[in-house]
Amino acid sequence: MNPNDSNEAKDASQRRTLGFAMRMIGQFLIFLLVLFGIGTLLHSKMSDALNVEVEKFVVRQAEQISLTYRELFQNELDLLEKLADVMESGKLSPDDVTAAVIHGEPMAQAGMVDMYGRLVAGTPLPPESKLQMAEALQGRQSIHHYKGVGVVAMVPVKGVQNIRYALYKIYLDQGLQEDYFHLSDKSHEAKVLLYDLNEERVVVPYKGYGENDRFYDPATKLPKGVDQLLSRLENAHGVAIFSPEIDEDYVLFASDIKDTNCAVIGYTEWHSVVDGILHIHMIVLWVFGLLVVLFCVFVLYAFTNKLQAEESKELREARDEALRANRAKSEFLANMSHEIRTPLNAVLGMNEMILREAKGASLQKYAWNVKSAGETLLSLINDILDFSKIESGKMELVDASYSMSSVLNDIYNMVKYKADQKGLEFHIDVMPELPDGFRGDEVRLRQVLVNILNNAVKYTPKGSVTFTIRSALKEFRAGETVMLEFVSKDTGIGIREADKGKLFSQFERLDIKRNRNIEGTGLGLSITVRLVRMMGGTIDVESVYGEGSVFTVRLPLRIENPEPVGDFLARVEEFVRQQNSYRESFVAPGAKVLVVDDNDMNLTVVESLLAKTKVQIDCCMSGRECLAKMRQQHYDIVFLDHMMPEMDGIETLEKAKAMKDSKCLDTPVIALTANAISGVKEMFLSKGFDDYLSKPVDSRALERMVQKYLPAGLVQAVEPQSSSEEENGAAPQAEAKEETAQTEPKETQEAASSSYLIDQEAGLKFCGGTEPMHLRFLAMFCQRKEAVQNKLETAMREENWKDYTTHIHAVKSTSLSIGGTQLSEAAKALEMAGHAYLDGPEEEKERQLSYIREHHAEVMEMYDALIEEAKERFGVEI
Amino acid sequence: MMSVKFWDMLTKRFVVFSIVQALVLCLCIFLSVNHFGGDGWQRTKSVALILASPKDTEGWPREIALGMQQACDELGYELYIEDEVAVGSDACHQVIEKLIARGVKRIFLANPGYQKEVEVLARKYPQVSFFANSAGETVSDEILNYSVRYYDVRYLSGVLAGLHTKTGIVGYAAPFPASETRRDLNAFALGVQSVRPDARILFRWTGQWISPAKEHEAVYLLKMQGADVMGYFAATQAIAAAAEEIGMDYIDFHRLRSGNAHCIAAIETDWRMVYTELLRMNRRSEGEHVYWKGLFDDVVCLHLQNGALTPREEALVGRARSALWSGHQIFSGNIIDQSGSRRCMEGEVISNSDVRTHMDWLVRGVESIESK
Repeated sequence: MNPNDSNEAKDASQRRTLGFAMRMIGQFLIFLLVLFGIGTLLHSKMSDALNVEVEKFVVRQAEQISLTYRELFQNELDLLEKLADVMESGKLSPDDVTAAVIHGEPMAQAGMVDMYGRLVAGTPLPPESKLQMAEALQGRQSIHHYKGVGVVAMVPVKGVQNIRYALYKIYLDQGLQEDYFHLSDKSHEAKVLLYDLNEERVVVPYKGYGENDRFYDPATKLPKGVDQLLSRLENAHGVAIFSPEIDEDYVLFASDIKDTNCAVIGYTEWHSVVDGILHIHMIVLWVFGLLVVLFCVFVLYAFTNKLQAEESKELREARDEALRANRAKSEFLANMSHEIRTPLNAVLGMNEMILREAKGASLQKYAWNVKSAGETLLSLINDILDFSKIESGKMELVDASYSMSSVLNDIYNMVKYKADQKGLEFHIDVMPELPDGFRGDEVRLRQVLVNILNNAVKYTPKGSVTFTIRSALKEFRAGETVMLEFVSKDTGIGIREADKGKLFSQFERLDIKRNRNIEGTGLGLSITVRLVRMMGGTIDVESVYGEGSVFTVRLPLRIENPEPVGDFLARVEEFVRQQNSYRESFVAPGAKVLVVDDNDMNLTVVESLLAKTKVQIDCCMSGRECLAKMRQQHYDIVFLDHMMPEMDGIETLEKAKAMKDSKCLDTPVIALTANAISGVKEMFLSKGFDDYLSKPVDSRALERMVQKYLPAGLVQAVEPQSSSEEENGAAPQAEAKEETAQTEPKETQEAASSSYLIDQEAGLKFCGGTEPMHLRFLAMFCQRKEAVQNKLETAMREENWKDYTTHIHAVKSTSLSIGGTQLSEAAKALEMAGHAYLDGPEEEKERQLSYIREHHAEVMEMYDALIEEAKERFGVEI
Repeated sequence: MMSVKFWDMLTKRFVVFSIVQALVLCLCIFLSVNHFGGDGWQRTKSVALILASPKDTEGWPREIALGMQQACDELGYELYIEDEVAVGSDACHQVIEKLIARGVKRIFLANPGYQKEVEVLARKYPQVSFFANSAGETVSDEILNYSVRYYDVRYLSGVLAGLHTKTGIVGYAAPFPASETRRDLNAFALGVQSVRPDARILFRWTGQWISPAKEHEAVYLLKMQGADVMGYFAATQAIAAAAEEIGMDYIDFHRLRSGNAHCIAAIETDWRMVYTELLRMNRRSEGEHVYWKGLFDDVVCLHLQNGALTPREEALVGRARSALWSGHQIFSGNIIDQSGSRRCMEGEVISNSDVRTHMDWLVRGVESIESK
């Protein structure tokens, strides 16, 4: 991650947080706005509802007042009626009655009319009163106000049978201002006016009503708001209005009075009506406010939760994303490593060819460099492959039995070599009781141990590396699982305390400045840790920076064979000795070996190389023959050539294994091949071979192979004296020879190749190192010349390129085994062209063929020349 | 990039979510506040009208239903009209129970026949106001009786008939003898006699408020007896149709039909005004049991047919009307009934209460005709 990335990530996270905050505030504000709106609505609704109730209440009040007025009027009518009754009984004359009506009331007048409207007594009425009179004569009592006159109360007066007169009393307008029908003074909080609906004027004012009064409207000279009240009164008996436009504090009301043309109009204070209800209103608003606060708190809480939830969601997504990416990376690595390994193997294989055949010293040096770099690369790729296998869960442990001593042996050899190269001491300390036979994954155990030891060697500039294997137990039984401790102690650079945590993490390399010269992927320990964990073990590290580290691996291992390893150092020495005393170190007269090769020269080589071991050797030249022989008798080892006409080695082996009447079902079969590139061994092993030998056969390798695969009972060691003598003599020689082989021979080879076709040195190496053998081979080679050339010519003629390739292959290997390196090289070129023709792409076939045709004669000439040289130089006779 | 997209998406979703949330919340609260705070919370004022006949029958049923509908529309009442509710059966009870369950607070009975049946229910549901259409008797304090005071207009129609007749024989039809039918017949007769003292006034009972066959027969009989103009009192306008068919001039009841050649005038009732006043009435506070209004309250009028009357007729009818307005009493002065007894003496007026409930006599000069 570079700084830009981290800045971007920081920005993104800041933006996100800001976004959350904005959203939170936004939503909060929306809610607040909504609540505010609702609050306002609630308030206005409540006010409306309250006003509606107030109006209703005041309407009732108005109706009550109108009833009161009516009762007031009714009292007057009742008084009149009583006088009328008195008159009916004949006790009073109309004049008496009218006088009685107004008795003591200066502001009142009275009168009486008959059914024709004629005045019988008292004061006359204006003509507007005719309807009231008519109704009175029909029996109805009523009160009516007439402009300029006053309020007139009228009752019927009965005659003999029916109604004869109408009696009335007039309350003069002047008197109404002061004396009659004043209600507001009496009890009510309201101010009440009696209003004439027909004349549209105030009949009875309340006290103080006048031009300076609050409710007097100077524009219309009428009470305030009377228009609205009257227009509503048309549809109802009583009405009330509370409107701030008319008056802010007072409610207006009106109600008509029955049986009159009058109505009451009044004003009552709003607060006096709603006094108690207002408290309820306030309580509701207060509770609502509290709810709003509560809601805000809740909303805040919900948002915080949401924020957290979203953050954790993002984290989860990021983690999933990372896991997916990691898996994809592992798979990619696994695939890539595999893909890289294949061509790399080819490169290394070809490089091996170059190593063998290159003549120039510098060329050799380059090839060596290629080899070492290539191997490093391969090991890195293997590391990556392992790692990605572990990561993607594809790594599986194999359960097989193995020998601990063999494992330790290999490790010892490998580490010792590296330590020696760096000038370090390498000690190995194995407890003698350690069992030898275990079950488990040998390869992974080896990998773990080699990794920690290699690491130790890598990071130790001087001093020593000590490898200790121990166990708490001293006695072991088969089938038990024992916890073994593998301790690697070095005097290296050590690990800083702070770096210990990073030690086992992948791709981390510690102390980079200081270790920049040390190559590696940083995967080694990471793989090791994972492998150890897979095997159920633990790994610990103790270290003092600058003084060295101790890696302790504890692994539970299952014992299969409790036989102790014994003195490992002694065994190692023994082994080394065995390695060195390869020559004639054993005889096996009882052993039977079958060698199969289509090339009789190769057969002869093998035969002669094994002559000293007194092994009984059978030879045959084809797969079919081999199968026949296997049917006939038992062999202890079978050497089987790979490239043969008709049936090649692999096919032969398949058939042999499938053959039920074979006597060699358990016999180890070792492949012989001239294609000695890396990866070939694995190929052969996978096809069922037990091992392989590369041609030309190295005598030492051959003997080792035979010794390894022969049953122990058949092998007899030669007498110690002679062997030790041999050893003392031969080993240094061999070593010296090997050393020189790396430097000097190249020059001699180079020198020789310029003048001779036959490289005696090389020839000797493949012929057991003795001149007579070499000569014998040369003779054989010369003898076969005619036959071989004939076969080649025939194949050429018949254009049987398969046969041609097989035959030229034989030329390649046989000529090399007698030291005819140039011929071998040329033959190899033809062989490769042949292979390319047979297996290669279609468009190149023509080119390959023309190459063979061009160079065939050249090679044949060289063949002839070689035979000539053999004759002249070594005196070979045909 | 991923996170930016996610963020955008979230923002969009968030905005939509918030708005929807806010709207739903607002709506919920607004509705609830509105419901509880507004008028909706109080039960809608609803009114029911119960009719015996189909509500579109010409005559009272249609006029009453229309007037009621107009009054309710004007005052903002919800109206349920239940028509074809048979009188004297259980149907009325069931209908009323159903209406009360629906929340109806005022029930108007269009047919006088219901009054006695409903009395029990009126006691059972004191919170419900019952209004019975019956001018005559009052049955219960729980029921308000309402009717139209037709007699002033009957008088005027009598004046018109007296002026209009050529033969001097005026016809009249009414369902059966009762206080309100006698009252109207008497007023009609007094009207005729006021302009044509020598006129014969023939009348016939038709038996029911609605009895088309008998009504037809009555018109036929009147025609046979020589009547050339007639008035009538019935629930429907079947008589008018019959008179039109036979070719006798008539004064229609309920509504003027302008196309009819023999219709000279019609007594029209402003039911809208009647029901408006009834609905406005706060019965409990006013303690009223009877609503009886007529000419002076502009509830009824005599609608003269344009072009069917002579100017003299129109002028004299107009004069009679203004006489009434200026205090002329119909049932006043010297009134002798059929049996010869004096019902009113000179200089006196019969009170409205007597006119309304105790009219058990007919004035001298009216003749009942019998079928032969």
